[in-house]
Amino acid sequence: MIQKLSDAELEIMKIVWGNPEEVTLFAYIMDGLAARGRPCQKNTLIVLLSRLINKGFLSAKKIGRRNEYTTLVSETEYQTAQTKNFLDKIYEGSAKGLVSNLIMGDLLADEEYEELKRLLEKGKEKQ
Amino acid sequence: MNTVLKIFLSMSFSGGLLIALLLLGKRFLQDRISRQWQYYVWLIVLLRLLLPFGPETNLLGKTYQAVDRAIIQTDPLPRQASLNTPGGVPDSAAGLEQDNETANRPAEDLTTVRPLQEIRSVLANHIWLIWLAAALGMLIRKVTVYQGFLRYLNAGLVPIADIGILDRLSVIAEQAGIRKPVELCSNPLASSPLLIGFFHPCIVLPSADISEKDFWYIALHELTHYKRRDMFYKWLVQVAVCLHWFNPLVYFMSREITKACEFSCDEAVLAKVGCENAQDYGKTLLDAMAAVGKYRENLGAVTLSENKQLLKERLGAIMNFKRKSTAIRLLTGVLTLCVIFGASFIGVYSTAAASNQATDEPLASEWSKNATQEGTGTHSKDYSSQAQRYYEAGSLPLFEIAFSQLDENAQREWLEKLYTNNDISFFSVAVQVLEESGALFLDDFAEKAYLDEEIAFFSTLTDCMDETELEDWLDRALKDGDWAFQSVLFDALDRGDEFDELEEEQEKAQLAKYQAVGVTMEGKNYYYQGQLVNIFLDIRPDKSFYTLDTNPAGTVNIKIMRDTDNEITGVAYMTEAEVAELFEDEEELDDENSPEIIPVNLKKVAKKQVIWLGEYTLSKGDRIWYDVSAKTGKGMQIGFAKSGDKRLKTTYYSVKNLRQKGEPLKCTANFTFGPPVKPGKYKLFLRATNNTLRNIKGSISIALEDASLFSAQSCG
Repeated sequence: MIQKLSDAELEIMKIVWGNPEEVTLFAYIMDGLAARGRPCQKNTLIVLLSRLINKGFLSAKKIGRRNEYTTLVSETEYQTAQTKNFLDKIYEGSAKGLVSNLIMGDLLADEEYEELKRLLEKGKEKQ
Repeated sequence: MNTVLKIFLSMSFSGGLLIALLLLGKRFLQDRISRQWQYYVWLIVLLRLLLPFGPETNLLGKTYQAVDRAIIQTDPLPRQASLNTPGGVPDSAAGLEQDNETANRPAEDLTTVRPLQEIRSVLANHIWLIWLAAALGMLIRKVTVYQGFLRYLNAGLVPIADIGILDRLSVIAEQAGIRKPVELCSNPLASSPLLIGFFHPCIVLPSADISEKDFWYIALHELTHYKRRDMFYKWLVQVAVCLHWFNPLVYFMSREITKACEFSCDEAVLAKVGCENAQDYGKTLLDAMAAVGKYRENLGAVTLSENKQLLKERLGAIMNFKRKSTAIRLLTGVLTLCVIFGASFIGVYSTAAASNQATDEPLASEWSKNATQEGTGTHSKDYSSQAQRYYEAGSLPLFEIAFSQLDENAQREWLEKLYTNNDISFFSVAVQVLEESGALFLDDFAEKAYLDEEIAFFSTLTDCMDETELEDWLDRALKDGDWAFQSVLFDALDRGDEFDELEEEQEKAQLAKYQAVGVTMEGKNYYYQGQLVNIFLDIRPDKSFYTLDTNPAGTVNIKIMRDTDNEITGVAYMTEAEVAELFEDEEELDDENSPEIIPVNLKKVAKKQVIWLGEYTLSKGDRIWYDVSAKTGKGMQIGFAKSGDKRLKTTYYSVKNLRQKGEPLKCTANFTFGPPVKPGKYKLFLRATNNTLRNIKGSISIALEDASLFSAQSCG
């Protein structure tokens, strides 16, 4: 099962997911956090990274003195799992409830609405 | 009683004395001396409790010798025992108390005493099992309780996600000089802030909702614990408590150390934050105590505060905190030295002391005189059965005591028995006892050992010969031309150099004789009629001595012919059958990987000299056996070294042995080559580590995992 991430952990994961390279280096994350306006101490980041490793989100490979981090869970996988979790919790597993709430609550922009519509039709054809 | 247990009892007792001393001293000095010192001074006590080392002569060693004798003596002669165990002999050994009980009872019917004795001896022999079982049980229980506590704590552990707090912790850790990242979690079940993890520190807070100042103090306190490795200290204490479970004082010590740990930690924190913050720090302590959880078991975890009583004392100490003056520091220095000195002086009962008992105990010799004067035989019989018991149990020191009480005839019988049983270690102990009393019949045994060529027994006996006797023997050995005995006697007379000269002469004479029949020697190689010799064999007719030299580069196999008078008559080529017979032993070892056997037959290796025995390519899984012994000499080492390492800076799979009294000097071992030693070329060596080695015989075998890769290059 994919575990939940704390805000700080999610922040780090976003940086790692956003990295076009296969592996991410410690300094890259450090810089990324500073760029997002959330700088932190080196040891704090080490602690957070080791938590992510324990949760199964990252794997670390030690090469000499530097650590190379690789993602084990992709952003979409995490989003799907979290959405499912959210659906179960708030809408009792009903996707319809969620979508209707999005539409009725005026939470979608017009382009987003059109795109979703297209997506729905495409999905129907496939079935 | 078991020797190990005895040593332990004495460690426990001397440790107990130290504990009592420190507890007493604490009453007077508590507030004047650095808390740090009060905490670490217990380390000395712990070492005393856990390490069975100390100087040779010490207080307890002597006491224990007296106790030992008392135990022996109570058995057959109750009235003697009550005389010999002074009331003040301190000991908590259950076995001894029992002894005294029965001993003090007025003379009872012998028939009822006998079975009692049996039970007692069984109890005394097995009491160490009870001790060990209890100690192990306690330790296991402590570990499982701690694990249970960790499980309980881990179940509700929530990592603190607030980067702000984590950052503050990182900064505090950096200030405290801790390089490792520290994990921070919260758990409402924790009664107070605490630190877990031996190598990966984790601070557990009862709640994440905490003021910045409180957090600062708490983190500083816990990190100080981590920095000082208090967890290891605490567990060391627990191990000592488990091993010394029968000693009530160790429980006091454990409690004192827990207290001192917190006190000294407070002191260290205050030294860092400054005494003006003492009040704040005290308040944090109080707040931390306000929320007391349910789980009381906090063994092994370093908590911020242990209980309310302790808290009160700590608050008092915190408020009184001031930096120590130089005078006080000087005083603590002196005190430390006193405690260390005390610890080593009290010492422990050492086995060495036990084996010297008969020599440095006036009481013992007096007693043995009594025994021989009374010479009623029945007593001797009792001692004889005891000696038998201890002999069977393999207990040298106890055997020595029992043996010293025997009358002369019985001693002689024992000596004969040990001689025929070829039991050199017991024999040498017995000889030591007799050395004191100067028993005449030792000469008979020397004669016997000489005639039987039992060089090891003979060398034990030389210890109790005076110079003239030794010289007489040497004359005889020189006349008989007996090399081994000459070597032992020269060594005993401290005239090893003369022997070397003599041997050199002899060697030259030998070479001249070889030359007369056409065998020449260059360096280490033998040549026969211009051909390099592969196998050179020279067996004396009486089989007393033989020379075997193999050189794989050689082409011919020869043997020296001798007549019955030991004179060389000629040289003959060895037949295939003879060669096969010679290496018969080795062929038995043959398996699919047929081990390479490197025979070792060296007449002499000079002091510190290194003999190289060829170079071998070794890889993972190769098996190596050493089985080499030296007839005379003190220390021998066999092992491998890298090809370029002439001075043996790094040795691999090396075995280094010193001669133990009354045992042959031997290096026997077997290894399987593998990591961390890297495969490659290694040179095999043999080294005389102490003095000159003589008559080194045996073999070293190497079985390669993959026989096809074998590439032994030379032997010699």
